[in-house]
Amino acid sequence: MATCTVPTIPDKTVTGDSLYGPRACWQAFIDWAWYAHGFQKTYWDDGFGYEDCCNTDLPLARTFGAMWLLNYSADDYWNEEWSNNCLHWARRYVRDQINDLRSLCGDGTNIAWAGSGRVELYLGCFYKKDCAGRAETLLHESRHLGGKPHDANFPAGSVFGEGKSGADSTWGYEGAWMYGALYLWWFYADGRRTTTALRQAARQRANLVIDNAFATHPGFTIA
Amino acid sequence: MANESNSAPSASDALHRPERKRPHAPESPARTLLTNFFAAMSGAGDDAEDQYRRALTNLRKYADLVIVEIARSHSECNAGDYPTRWAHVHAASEMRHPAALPFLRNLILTPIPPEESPDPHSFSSVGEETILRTTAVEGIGHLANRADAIETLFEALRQPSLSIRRAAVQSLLASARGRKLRARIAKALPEEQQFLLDLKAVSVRDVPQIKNPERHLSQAGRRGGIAPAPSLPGDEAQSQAGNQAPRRKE
Repeated sequence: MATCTVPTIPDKTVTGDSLYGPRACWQAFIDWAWYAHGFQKTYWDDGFGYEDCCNTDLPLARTFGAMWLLNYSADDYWNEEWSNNCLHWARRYVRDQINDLRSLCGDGTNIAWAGSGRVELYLGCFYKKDCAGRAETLLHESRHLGGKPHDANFPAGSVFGEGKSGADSTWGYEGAWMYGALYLWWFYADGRRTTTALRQAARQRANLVIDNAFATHPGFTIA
Repeated sequence: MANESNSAPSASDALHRPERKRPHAPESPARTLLTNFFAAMSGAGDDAEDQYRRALTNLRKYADLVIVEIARSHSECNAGDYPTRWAHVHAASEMRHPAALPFLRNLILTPIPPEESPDPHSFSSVGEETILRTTAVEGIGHLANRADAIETLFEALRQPSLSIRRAAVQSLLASARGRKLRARIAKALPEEQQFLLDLKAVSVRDVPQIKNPERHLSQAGRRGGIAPAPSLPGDEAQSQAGNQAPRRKE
Protein backbone atom coordinates (compact mmCIF):
# COMPACT_ATOMS: atom_id res chain seq x y z
CA MET A 1 0.00 0.00 0.00
CA ALA A 2 1.35 3.40 -1.00
CA THR A 3 0.59 6.72 0.61
CA CYS A 4 0.50 9.92 -1.41
CA THR A 5 -0.50 13.55 -1.06
CA VAL A 6 -3.03 15.65 -2.94
CA PRO A 7 -0.91 17.81 -5.27
CA THR A 8 -1.63 21.41 -6.20
CA ILE A 9 -5.23 21.51 -7.34
CA PRO A 10 -5.68 23.42 -10.61
CA ASP A 11 -8.28 26.19 -10.73
CA LYS A 12 -11.56 24.31 -10.75
CA THR A 13 -13.31 26.84 -12.94
CA VAL A 14 -10.69 26.03 -15.56
CA THR A 15 -10.80 22.24 -15.28
CA GLY A 16 -14.58 22.20 -15.31
CA ASP A 17 -14.82 20.73 -11.82
CA SER A 18 -16.77 23.71 -10.55
CA LEU A 19 -19.25 23.10 -13.37
CA TYR A 20 -19.46 19.30 -13.43
CA GLY A 21 -18.85 18.61 -9.73
CA PRO A 22 -22.20 19.99 -8.54
CA ARG A 23 -24.01 18.35 -11.44
CA ALA A 24 -22.57 14.95 -10.57
CA CYS A 25 -23.41 15.42 -6.90
CA TRP A 26 -26.78 13.87 -7.57
CA GLN A 27 -27.54 10.69 -5.70
CA ALA A 28 -29.33 8.93 -8.55
CA PHE A 29 -26.30 9.53 -10.78
CA ILE A 30 -23.81 8.52 -8.09
CA ASP A 31 -25.68 5.28 -7.42
CA TRP A 32 -25.78 4.49 -11.12
CA ALA A 33 -22.13 5.40 -11.83
CA TRP A 34 -20.89 3.40 -8.84
CA TYR A 35 -22.60 0.25 -10.00
CA ALA A 36 -22.14 0.71 -13.76
CA HIS A 37 -18.35 1.06 -13.60
CA GLY A 38 -17.57 -1.37 -10.82
CA PHE A 39 -16.25 1.02 -8.23
CA GLN A 40 -15.21 -0.69 -5.02
CA LYS A 41 -15.14 1.12 -1.72
CA THR A 42 -11.77 -0.31 -0.79
CA TYR A 43 -10.14 1.49 -3.73
CA TRP A 44 -11.88 4.81 -3.22
CA ASP A 45 -11.64 5.36 0.54
CA ASP A 46 -8.58 6.32 2.61
CA GLY A 47 -8.67 9.87 1.30
CA PHE A 48 -9.67 9.20 -2.31
CA GLY A 49 -13.16 10.52 -1.68
CA TYR A 50 -15.55 7.76 -0.64
CA GLU A 51 -16.31 9.52 2.62
CA ASP A 52 -16.83 12.89 0.89
CA CYS A 53 -18.01 11.99 -2.60
CA CYS A 54 -19.05 15.50 -3.70
CA ASN A 55 -15.77 17.15 -2.69
CA THR A 56 -14.08 18.08 -5.96
CA ASP A 57 -10.72 18.36 -4.24
CA LEU A 58 -10.73 14.55 -4.16
CA PRO A 59 -10.38 11.89 -6.87
CA LEU A 60 -13.85 10.34 -6.58
CA ALA A 61 -15.82 13.53 -7.21
CA ARG A 62 -13.40 14.46 -10.00
CA THR A 63 -14.11 11.08 -11.58
CA PHE A 64 -17.86 11.48 -11.18
CA GLY A 65 -17.59 14.89 -12.86
CA ALA A 66 -15.81 13.34 -15.84
CA MET A 67 -18.45 10.62 -16.01
CA TRP A 68 -21.22 13.22 -16.02
CA LEU A 69 -19.51 14.90 -18.96
CA LEU A 70 -19.12 11.55 -20.71
CA ASN A 71 -22.79 10.69 -20.25
CA TYR A 72 -24.58 13.95 -20.95
CA SER A 73 -22.56 15.91 -23.53
CA ALA A 74 -24.55 14.83 -26.56
CA ASP A 75 -27.64 16.93 -27.18
CA ASP A 76 -29.83 13.80 -27.28
CA TYR A 77 -27.60 11.84 -24.92
CA TRP A 78 -30.15 9.05 -24.55
CA ASN A 79 -29.64 8.10 -28.19
CA GLU A 80 -26.57 5.93 -27.71
CA GLU A 81 -26.93 3.66 -30.72
CA TRP A 82 -23.60 2.32 -32.02
CA SER A 83 -24.51 3.76 -35.42
CA ASN A 84 -24.49 7.27 -33.98
CA ASN A 85 -21.33 9.34 -33.51
CA CYS A 86 -18.73 8.83 -30.80
CA LEU A 87 -20.13 11.61 -28.58
CA HIS A 88 -23.24 9.45 -28.20
CA TRP A 89 -21.86 5.93 -27.80
CA ALA A 90 -18.64 6.56 -25.86
CA ARG A 91 -20.52 6.42 -22.57
CA ARG A 92 -21.99 3.07 -23.52
CA TYR A 93 -18.63 1.66 -24.58
CA VAL A 94 -17.03 2.75 -21.31
CA ARG A 95 -19.69 1.34 -19.04
CA ASP A 96 -19.85 -1.94 -21.00
CA GLN A 97 -16.09 -2.28 -20.85
CA ILE A 98 -15.09 -1.16 -17.37
CA ASN A 99 -16.33 -3.33 -14.56
CA ASP A 100 -13.58 -2.66 -12.03
CA LEU A 101 -12.42 0.93 -11.62
CA ARG A 102 -9.76 1.76 -9.04
CA SER A 103 -7.93 4.84 -7.84
CA LEU A 104 -4.30 4.58 -6.82
CA CYS A 105 -1.37 6.90 -6.23
CA GLY A 106 0.83 6.05 -9.20
CA ASP A 107 4.11 7.89 -9.45
CA GLY A 108 2.53 11.34 -9.31
CA THR A 109 2.37 11.88 -13.05
CA ASN A 110 1.02 8.55 -14.37
CA ILE A 111 -2.48 8.79 -15.73
CA ALA A 112 -3.99 5.34 -16.00
CA TRP A 113 -3.52 1.67 -16.72
CA ALA A 114 -5.83 -1.00 -18.11
CA GLY A 115 -5.57 -4.75 -18.03
CA SER A 116 -7.04 -7.92 -16.63
CA GLY A 117 -10.50 -6.44 -16.94
CA ARG A 118 -9.85 -3.40 -14.80
CA VAL A 119 -8.82 0.21 -15.08
CA GLU A 120 -6.62 1.97 -12.58
CA LEU A 121 -6.61 5.77 -12.40
CA TYR A 122 -3.69 7.61 -10.85
CA LEU A 123 -3.13 11.07 -9.41
CA GLY A 124 -2.07 12.46 -12.78
CA CYS A 125 -5.53 11.72 -14.16
CA PHE A 126 -7.31 13.49 -11.30
CA TYR A 127 -5.09 16.56 -11.01
CA LYS A 128 -3.36 17.14 -14.36
CA LYS A 129 -6.35 16.72 -16.67
CA ASP A 130 -9.57 18.66 -17.04
CA CYS A 131 -12.95 16.93 -17.00
CA ALA A 132 -12.94 16.24 -20.74
CA GLY A 133 -9.39 14.90 -20.52
CA ARG A 134 -10.44 12.47 -17.78
CA ALA A 135 -13.40 11.33 -19.87
CA GLU A 136 -11.00 10.75 -22.77
CA THR A 137 -8.80 8.67 -20.47
CA LEU A 138 -11.75 6.44 -19.55
CA LEU A 139 -12.45 5.83 -23.23
CA HIS A 140 -8.77 5.32 -24.13
CA GLU A 141 -8.35 2.71 -21.41
CA SER A 142 -11.66 1.06 -22.30
CA ARG A 143 -10.35 0.53 -25.82
CA HIS A 144 -7.39 -1.32 -24.34
CA LEU A 145 -9.79 -3.53 -22.40
CA GLY A 146 -11.48 -4.14 -25.74
CA GLY A 147 -8.34 -5.97 -26.78
CA LYS A 148 -6.48 -3.33 -28.76
CA PRO A 149 -2.92 -2.69 -27.59
CA HIS A 150 -0.71 0.01 -29.08
CA ASP A 151 1.10 -1.41 -32.10
CA ALA A 152 3.80 1.07 -33.07
CA ASN A 153 6.56 3.36 -31.90
CA PHE A 154 6.08 7.10 -31.59
CA PRO A 155 7.20 9.01 -34.70
CA ALA A 156 10.13 11.38 -35.02
CA GLY A 157 9.64 14.45 -32.86
CA SER A 158 6.70 13.02 -30.93
CA VAL A 159 6.07 14.64 -27.55
CA PHE A 160 5.32 11.16 -26.23
CA GLY A 161 8.88 9.98 -26.81
CA GLU A 162 10.34 9.51 -30.28
CA GLY A 163 10.99 5.86 -31.05
CA LYS A 164 9.38 4.54 -27.88
CA SER A 165 6.55 2.04 -27.96
CA GLY A 166 3.01 3.15 -27.18
CA ALA A 167 1.85 4.71 -30.45
CA ASP A 168 -0.85 3.47 -32.78
CA SER A 169 0.28 2.76 -36.32
CA THR A 170 -2.47 4.67 -38.11
CA TRP A 171 -5.83 6.37 -37.55
CA GLY A 172 -7.42 3.41 -39.33
CA TYR A 173 -6.00 1.00 -36.74
CA GLU A 174 -8.89 2.24 -34.56
CA GLY A 175 -6.84 2.02 -31.40
CA ALA A 176 -7.01 3.81 -28.07
CA TRP A 177 -5.44 7.03 -29.36
CA MET A 178 -7.96 7.25 -32.19
CA TYR A 179 -10.83 6.63 -29.80
CA GLY A 180 -9.62 9.36 -27.44
CA ALA A 181 -8.92 11.91 -30.16
CA LEU A 182 -12.22 11.24 -31.91
CA TYR A 183 -14.14 11.72 -28.66
CA LEU A 184 -12.39 15.00 -27.88
CA TRP A 185 -12.96 16.15 -31.42
CA TRP A 186 -16.71 15.45 -31.25
CA PHE A 187 -16.85 17.08 -27.83
CA TYR A 188 -15.24 20.18 -29.33
CA ALA A 189 -17.49 20.15 -32.38
CA ASP A 190 -20.82 19.28 -30.86
CA GLY A 191 -20.51 19.06 -27.05
CA ARG A 192 -23.50 20.42 -25.13
CA ARG A 193 -24.08 21.47 -21.53
CA THR A 194 -20.47 22.63 -21.47
CA THR A 195 -18.45 25.76 -22.08
CA THR A 196 -16.62 27.26 -25.03
CA ALA A 197 -13.34 27.15 -23.13
CA LEU A 198 -13.56 23.45 -22.28
CA ARG A 199 -14.37 22.68 -25.88
CA GLN A 200 -11.36 24.71 -27.02
CA ALA A 201 -9.13 22.86 -24.56
CA ALA A 202 -10.43 19.56 -25.95
CA ARG A 203 -9.58 20.71 -29.45
CA GLN A 204 -6.00 21.51 -28.48
CA ARG A 205 -5.56 18.13 -26.78
CA ALA A 206 -7.07 16.24 -29.71
CA ASN A 207 -4.72 17.99 -32.14
CA LEU A 208 -1.77 17.06 -29.93
CA VAL A 209 -2.78 13.40 -30.13
CA ILE A 210 -3.33 13.57 -33.89
CA ASP A 211 0.12 15.11 -34.39
CA ASN A 212 2.09 12.90 -32.03
CA ALA A 213 0.45 9.57 -31.24
CA PHE A 214 0.33 7.90 -34.66
CA ALA A 215 3.35 6.42 -36.39
CA THR A 216 1.89 7.71 -39.64
CA HIS A 217 0.32 11.16 -39.35
CA PRO A 218 -3.41 10.91 -40.23
CA GLY A 219 -3.03 13.79 -42.68
CA PHE A 220 -5.62 16.10 -41.18
CA THR A 221 -5.98 18.58 -38.39
CA ILE A 222 -8.96 20.02 -36.58
CA ALA A 223 -10.47 23.00 -38.33
CA MET B 1 -23.45 6.45 -1.40
CA ALA B 2 -24.06 3.00 -2.84
CA ASN B 3 -22.22 -0.21 -2.13
CA GLU B 4 -21.44 0.25 1.53
CA SER B 5 -21.12 -3.51 1.66
CA ASN B 6 -18.16 -3.95 -0.67
CA SER B 7 -15.62 -3.16 2.00
CA ALA B 8 -13.12 -5.97 1.60
CA PRO B 9 -9.80 -5.72 3.46
CA SER B 10 -7.94 -2.84 1.92
CA ALA B 11 -4.98 -3.40 -0.33
CA SER B 12 -5.49 0.06 -1.74
CA ASP B 13 -3.50 3.26 -1.43
CA ALA B 14 -4.09 6.20 0.91
CA LEU B 15 -4.25 9.87 -0.04
CA HIS B 16 -3.49 12.71 2.32
CA ARG B 17 -4.50 16.35 2.00
CA PRO B 18 -1.91 18.81 3.16
CA GLU B 19 -2.93 22.15 4.65
CA ARG B 20 -2.31 24.74 1.98
CA LYS B 21 -2.60 28.46 2.20
CA ARG B 22 -3.83 30.10 -0.95
CA PRO B 23 -1.20 32.46 -2.35
CA HIS B 24 -2.28 36.04 -1.89
CA ALA B 25 -2.76 37.80 -5.18
CA PRO B 26 -2.81 41.57 -5.08
CA GLU B 27 -6.22 43.00 -5.85
CA SER B 28 -6.47 45.17 -8.92
CA PRO B 29 -9.08 45.98 -11.54
CA ALA B 30 -7.21 43.86 -14.06
CA ARG B 31 -7.13 40.93 -11.66
CA THR B 32 -10.88 41.23 -11.16
CA LEU B 33 -11.45 41.19 -14.91
CA LEU B 34 -9.28 38.11 -15.30
CA THR B 35 -10.95 36.33 -12.39
CA ASN B 36 -14.33 37.13 -13.91
CA PHE B 37 -13.20 35.68 -17.22
CA PHE B 38 -12.00 32.46 -15.58
CA ALA B 39 -15.34 32.17 -13.78
CA ALA B 40 -17.21 32.76 -17.03
CA MET B 41 -15.13 30.01 -18.68
CA SER B 42 -16.91 27.54 -16.44
CA GLY B 43 -20.32 29.17 -16.43
CA ALA B 44 -23.47 27.11 -16.76
CA GLY B 45 -27.01 28.07 -17.57
CA ASP B 46 -28.82 29.65 -20.47
CA ASP B 47 -26.86 32.89 -20.33
CA ALA B 48 -23.42 31.30 -19.87
CA GLU B 49 -22.29 32.07 -23.40
CA ASP B 50 -23.39 35.70 -23.02
CA GLN B 51 -21.50 35.99 -19.74
CA TYR B 52 -18.40 34.53 -21.37
CA ARG B 53 -18.64 37.02 -24.24
CA ARG B 54 -19.13 39.92 -21.83
CA ALA B 55 -16.13 38.88 -19.73
CA LEU B 56 -14.06 38.58 -22.90
CA THR B 57 -15.19 41.98 -24.11
CA ASN B 58 -14.00 43.47 -20.82
CA LEU B 59 -10.60 41.81 -21.20
CA ARG B 60 -10.28 43.38 -24.63
CA LYS B 61 -11.43 46.77 -23.42
CA TYR B 62 -8.61 46.96 -20.88
CA ALA B 63 -6.17 44.79 -22.83
CA ASP B 64 -3.04 46.75 -21.92
CA LEU B 65 -3.69 46.33 -18.19
CA VAL B 66 -5.05 42.81 -18.39
CA ILE B 67 -2.09 41.39 -20.30
CA VAL B 68 0.25 42.56 -17.56
CA GLU B 69 -1.90 40.75 -15.02
CA ILE B 70 -2.01 37.63 -17.19
CA ALA B 71 1.77 37.60 -17.44
CA ARG B 72 2.19 38.20 -13.70
CA SER B 73 -0.35 35.60 -12.68
CA HIS B 74 0.92 33.04 -15.21
CA SER B 75 4.48 33.40 -13.93
CA GLU B 76 3.26 32.63 -10.40
CA CYS B 77 1.45 29.43 -11.40
CA ASN B 78 2.93 26.15 -10.33
CA ALA B 79 4.81 24.98 -13.44
CA GLY B 80 2.97 21.65 -13.37
CA ASP B 81 -0.46 23.22 -13.03
CA TYR B 82 -1.13 22.96 -16.75
CA PRO B 83 -4.91 23.55 -16.72
CA THR B 84 -4.49 26.90 -14.91
CA ARG B 85 -1.57 27.91 -17.08
CA TRP B 86 -3.60 27.01 -20.17
CA ALA B 87 -6.44 29.26 -18.98
CA HIS B 88 -4.02 32.20 -18.93
CA VAL B 89 -2.78 31.47 -22.45
CA HIS B 90 -6.33 30.95 -23.66
CA ALA B 91 -7.33 34.32 -22.19
CA ALA B 92 -4.42 36.08 -23.88
CA SER B 93 -5.16 34.34 -27.20
CA GLU B 94 -8.86 35.07 -27.13
CA MET B 95 -8.25 38.75 -26.48
CA ARG B 96 -7.19 38.96 -30.13
CA HIS B 97 -5.44 42.18 -29.25
CA PRO B 98 -1.95 43.37 -30.26
CA ALA B 99 -1.15 43.96 -26.59
CA ALA B 100 -1.09 40.18 -26.12
CA LEU B 101 1.52 39.59 -28.83
CA PRO B 102 4.68 39.96 -26.67
CA PHE B 103 3.34 37.58 -24.02
CA LEU B 104 2.34 34.97 -26.59
CA ARG B 105 5.58 35.36 -28.53
CA ASN B 106 7.64 34.98 -25.39
CA LEU B 107 5.86 31.74 -24.53
CA ILE B 108 6.36 30.26 -27.99
CA LEU B 109 10.05 31.11 -28.04
CA THR B 110 10.69 29.76 -24.55
CA PRO B 111 12.27 26.33 -25.00
CA ILE B 112 10.15 23.44 -23.76
CA PRO B 113 11.71 22.01 -20.57
CA PRO B 114 12.95 18.41 -20.75
CA GLU B 115 10.41 15.65 -20.21
CA GLU B 116 9.66 15.16 -16.53
CA SER B 117 7.60 12.01 -16.82
CA PRO B 118 9.27 8.61 -16.73
CA ASP B 119 6.42 7.32 -18.88
CA PRO B 120 5.44 9.99 -21.40
CA HIS B 121 2.93 7.66 -23.04
CA SER B 122 0.90 7.96 -19.85
CA PHE B 123 1.62 11.61 -19.13
CA SER B 124 3.92 13.96 -20.96
CA SER B 125 5.04 17.28 -19.54
CA VAL B 126 6.40 18.06 -23.01
CA GLY B 127 2.93 17.39 -24.38
CA GLU B 128 1.32 19.75 -21.89
CA GLU B 129 3.90 22.46 -22.60
CA THR B 130 3.24 21.97 -26.30
CA ILE B 131 -0.50 22.53 -25.84
CA LEU B 132 0.25 25.86 -24.17
CA ARG B 133 2.32 26.87 -27.16
CA THR B 134 -0.07 25.70 -29.88
CA THR B 135 -2.78 27.71 -28.15
CA ALA B 136 -0.45 30.72 -28.17
CA VAL B 137 0.34 30.21 -31.85
CA GLU B 138 -3.34 30.25 -32.70
CA GLY B 139 -3.71 33.41 -30.63
CA ILE B 140 -1.05 35.04 -32.76
CA GLY B 141 -2.84 33.69 -35.82
CA HIS B 142 -5.83 35.81 -34.85
CA LEU B 143 -3.57 38.85 -35.29
CA ALA B 144 -2.12 37.75 -38.60
CA ASN B 145 -3.33 40.87 -40.36
CA ARG B 146 -0.26 42.49 -38.76
CA ALA B 147 3.25 42.10 -40.12
CA ASP B 148 4.77 41.51 -36.67
CA ALA B 149 2.35 38.66 -36.02
CA ILE B 150 3.26 37.06 -39.35
CA GLU B 151 6.95 37.30 -38.49
CA THR B 152 6.29 35.75 -35.08
CA LEU B 153 4.56 32.83 -36.77
CA PHE B 154 7.65 32.32 -38.90
CA GLU B 155 9.69 32.33 -35.71
CA ALA B 156 7.37 29.59 -34.45
CA LEU B 157 8.25 27.54 -37.53
CA ARG B 158 11.83 27.40 -36.26
CA GLN B 159 10.82 25.76 -32.99
CA PRO B 160 11.75 22.07 -32.80
CA SER B 161 8.21 20.84 -32.30
CA LEU B 162 5.98 19.25 -34.90
CA SER B 163 2.80 20.52 -33.25
CA ILE B 164 4.02 24.10 -32.89
CA ARG B 165 5.06 24.08 -36.53
CA ARG B 166 1.74 22.54 -37.55
CA ALA B 167 -0.18 25.25 -35.70
CA ALA B 168 2.02 27.95 -37.23
CA VAL B 169 1.58 26.59 -40.76
CA GLN B 170 -2.18 26.46 -40.31
CA SER B 171 -2.28 30.02 -38.98
CA LEU B 172 -0.09 31.34 -41.77
CA LEU B 173 -2.07 29.60 -44.49
CA ALA B 174 -5.32 30.87 -42.99
CA SER B 175 -4.12 34.47 -43.04
CA ALA B 176 -5.12 36.89 -45.79
CA ARG B 177 -1.64 36.50 -47.32
CA GLY B 178 -1.62 32.73 -46.90
CA ARG B 179 -1.31 31.69 -50.52
CA LYS B 180 1.51 34.13 -51.14
CA LEU B 181 3.39 32.86 -48.09
CA ARG B 182 3.33 29.21 -49.09
CA ALA B 183 6.75 29.15 -50.72
CA ARG B 184 8.35 30.91 -47.77
CA ILE B 185 6.74 28.44 -45.37
CA ALA B 186 8.03 25.53 -47.42
CA LYS B 187 11.53 26.97 -47.26
CA ALA B 188 11.31 27.28 -43.47
CA LEU B 189 10.25 23.68 -42.91
CA PRO B 190 12.62 20.71 -42.84
CA GLU B 191 12.24 18.27 -45.71
CA GLU B 192 10.57 15.57 -43.61
CA GLN B 193 7.90 17.99 -42.40
CA GLN B 194 6.85 19.45 -45.75
CA PHE B 195 3.68 17.39 -45.37
CA LEU B 196 2.46 19.99 -42.86
CA LEU B 197 1.68 22.22 -45.83
CA ASP B 198 -0.77 19.66 -47.14
CA LEU B 199 -2.61 18.80 -43.92
CA LYS B 200 -6.32 19.29 -44.34
CA ALA B 201 -8.12 21.29 -41.68
CA VAL B 202 -11.40 19.42 -41.58
CA SER B 203 -14.58 18.87 -39.62
CA VAL B 204 -14.91 15.78 -37.47
CA ARG B 205 -17.75 14.73 -39.76
CA ASP B 206 -15.26 14.40 -42.62
CA VAL B 207 -12.79 11.97 -41.04
CA PRO B 208 -13.08 8.19 -40.80
CA GLN B 209 -15.35 7.18 -37.92
CA ILE B 210 -15.60 3.89 -36.08
CA LYS B 211 -18.08 1.63 -37.80
CA ASN B 212 -19.96 -0.49 -35.31
CA PRO B 213 -17.82 -0.02 -32.19
CA GLU B 214 -19.76 -2.84 -30.58
CA ARG B 215 -17.43 -5.26 -32.37
CA HIS B 216 -14.57 -3.69 -30.41
CA LEU B 217 -15.98 -4.79 -27.08
CA SER B 218 -14.39 -7.61 -25.16
CA GLN B 219 -16.41 -10.76 -24.63
CA ALA B 220 -17.36 -9.59 -21.16
CA GLY B 221 -18.21 -6.13 -22.49
CA ARG B 222 -20.52 -7.58 -25.12
CA ARG B 223 -22.71 -9.01 -22.43
CA GLY B 224 -23.53 -5.41 -21.52
CA GLY B 225 -26.78 -5.30 -19.68
CA ILE B 226 -25.98 -2.25 -17.58
CA ALA B 227 -28.63 0.42 -17.80
CA PRO B 228 -27.75 3.84 -19.23
CA ALA B 229 -27.23 6.79 -16.92
CA PRO B 230 -30.42 8.20 -15.45
CA SER B 231 -32.19 10.84 -17.49
CA LEU B 232 -31.58 14.40 -16.49
CA PRO B 233 -34.49 15.97 -14.66
CA GLY B 234 -37.04 17.02 -17.26
CA ASP B 235 -35.75 14.67 -19.97
CA GLU B 236 -37.50 11.51 -18.80
CA ALA B 237 -40.20 11.59 -21.44
CA GLN B 238 -37.76 12.13 -24.34
CA SER B 239 -35.28 9.52 -23.25
CA GLN B 240 -37.99 6.89 -23.01
CA ALA B 241 -39.61 7.85 -26.28
CA GLY B 242 -38.00 4.97 -28.13
CA ASN B 243 -39.71 2.44 -25.91
CA GLN B 244 -42.92 4.17 -25.07
CA ALA B 245 -46.01 2.06 -24.40
CA PRO B 246 -48.47 2.07 -27.32
CA ARG B 247 -51.15 4.73 -27.32
CA ARG B 248 -54.83 3.82 -27.52
CA LYS B 249 -56.67 5.13 -30.57
CA GLU B 250 -59.36 7.62 -29.67
